[in-house]
Amino acid sequence: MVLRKSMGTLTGIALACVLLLSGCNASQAVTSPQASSTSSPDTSQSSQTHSQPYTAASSPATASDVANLSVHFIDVGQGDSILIITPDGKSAVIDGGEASSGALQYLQSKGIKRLDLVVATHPHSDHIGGLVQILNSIPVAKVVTNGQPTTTLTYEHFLDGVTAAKAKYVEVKRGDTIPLGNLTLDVLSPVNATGDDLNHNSVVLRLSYFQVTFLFMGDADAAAEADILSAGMAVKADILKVGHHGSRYSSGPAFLAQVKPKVAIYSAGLSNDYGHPHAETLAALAAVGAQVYGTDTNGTVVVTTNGSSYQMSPLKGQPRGPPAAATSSTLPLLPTVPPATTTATPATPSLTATTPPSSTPAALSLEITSVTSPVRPGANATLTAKTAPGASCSIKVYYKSGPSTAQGLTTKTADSSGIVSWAWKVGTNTTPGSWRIVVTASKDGQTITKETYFTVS
Amino acid sequence: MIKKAVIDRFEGDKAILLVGDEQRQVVASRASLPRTAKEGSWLAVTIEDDVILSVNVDEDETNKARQRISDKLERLRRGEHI
Repeated sequence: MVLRKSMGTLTGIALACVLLLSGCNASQAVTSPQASSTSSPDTSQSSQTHSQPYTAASSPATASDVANLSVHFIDVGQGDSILIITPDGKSAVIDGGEASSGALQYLQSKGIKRLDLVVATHPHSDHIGGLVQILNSIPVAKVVTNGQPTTTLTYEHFLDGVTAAKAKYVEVKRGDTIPLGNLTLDVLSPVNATGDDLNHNSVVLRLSYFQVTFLFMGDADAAAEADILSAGMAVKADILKVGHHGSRYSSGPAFLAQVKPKVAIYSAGLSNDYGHPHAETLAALAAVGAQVYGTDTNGTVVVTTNGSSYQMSPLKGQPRGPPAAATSSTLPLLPTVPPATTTATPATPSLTATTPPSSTPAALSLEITSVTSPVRPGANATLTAKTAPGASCSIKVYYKSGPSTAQGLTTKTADSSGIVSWAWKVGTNTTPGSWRIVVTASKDGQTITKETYFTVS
Repeated sequence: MIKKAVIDRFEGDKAILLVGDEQRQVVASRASLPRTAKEGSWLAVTIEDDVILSVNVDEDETNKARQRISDKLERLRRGEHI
């Protein structure tokens, strides 16, 4: 993965910025997309970095702890295909577009020689057609579906491909988890993949990498969205793969209000027969403040994240919706958290220029500076946070079984440096997976909450 | 000429047909199909230059495909392919 090649450990503010940008032309990093395209002759890609509070991935922090996750929304014309490359080098594909729509070629161009996971969200040809070619060309370890068949030859060829690939075949439903390296895909839908509407039964997946969360909707319709909400599933996501190519039958306002996407990406062909994306959907996405990218106008869109901030790299053009500056200004600024080890790395002057000004002094701050991850069941985990000196701080750890009742997860007061930390034992029977941790700090009538995830494996 | 086709999906008022062994895509008006046609229905279509002149639902072909595919799916579920 190109973004990892020059990664070093860096100090403080520069870390989160530089990690996302290493491997890129530095001038791209700090200039507007328009300017960058003129200053980097070897590529037409433009990039934007969105910063969220930096959180060390584990304690002690090392370069590998904050390696990157990349999610590629591949331009396959009218259809869906998404490539995920995890920080530990695992790769997965969600859908493959139509047959011969370029997904396989894209994988090959990224040096993908095997896939750990293929997900077919549902068996329509614009989602599984290209999977046939992939299954027949690249070793695939596991194929996940919702288990609902159809009667097309395209689907039959897909089954033949799974058979020939000798891939493990798994059917999932809500509440299941799909491991992918150190990460976990949570299945939000379907509950029961029966009935005439194949879109409705799409496999809906949520993926969190520390503080950055993705939601992949497949072609799930508004009824599926409502069902996910009524089941109380967590749906909040920074990056939303918009359901059903941006059609008006998905992306209901109530659902979008809960997802609160900062970035929304739909996958559709230019001038397609169905009018995707529909104007109503674009308006609904704009109404929740999302920046909207589409593979029809932006080509392949790559999101790269170190778990605390993310970078958008559309092949061309700019997003619709609120400009990047408006989005960034609403995000907390990067704190100055030195990782445990530092080495001298020449930060270019242009990168230093991305350093945000100091945060507003009046507001109570809270940053999770480290958390042990991954942790084995039965081992101890620690979490450290920085807030205002004397702030009252509480922590909740949510496992599959519910909130942890471990000793040590008590309300504490931040020390004179504003540091607070907790140590607790992860139960021997804890279900492996990526689990949410919520930290709350209160002082002088102000309260602030931050959350992160840690992996039990 | 008369060809076999299958309805891959509906998109709004349109139906996406996969025609022949090559599963070539033809977009048709949903209203032009028989009311009994569903996603996954096999059809006998009279088609010229991608224009559909007549359509009949082919229940027999639909059932044959469903059974054949169901058998393949069951083998995958049992893990017999590994």
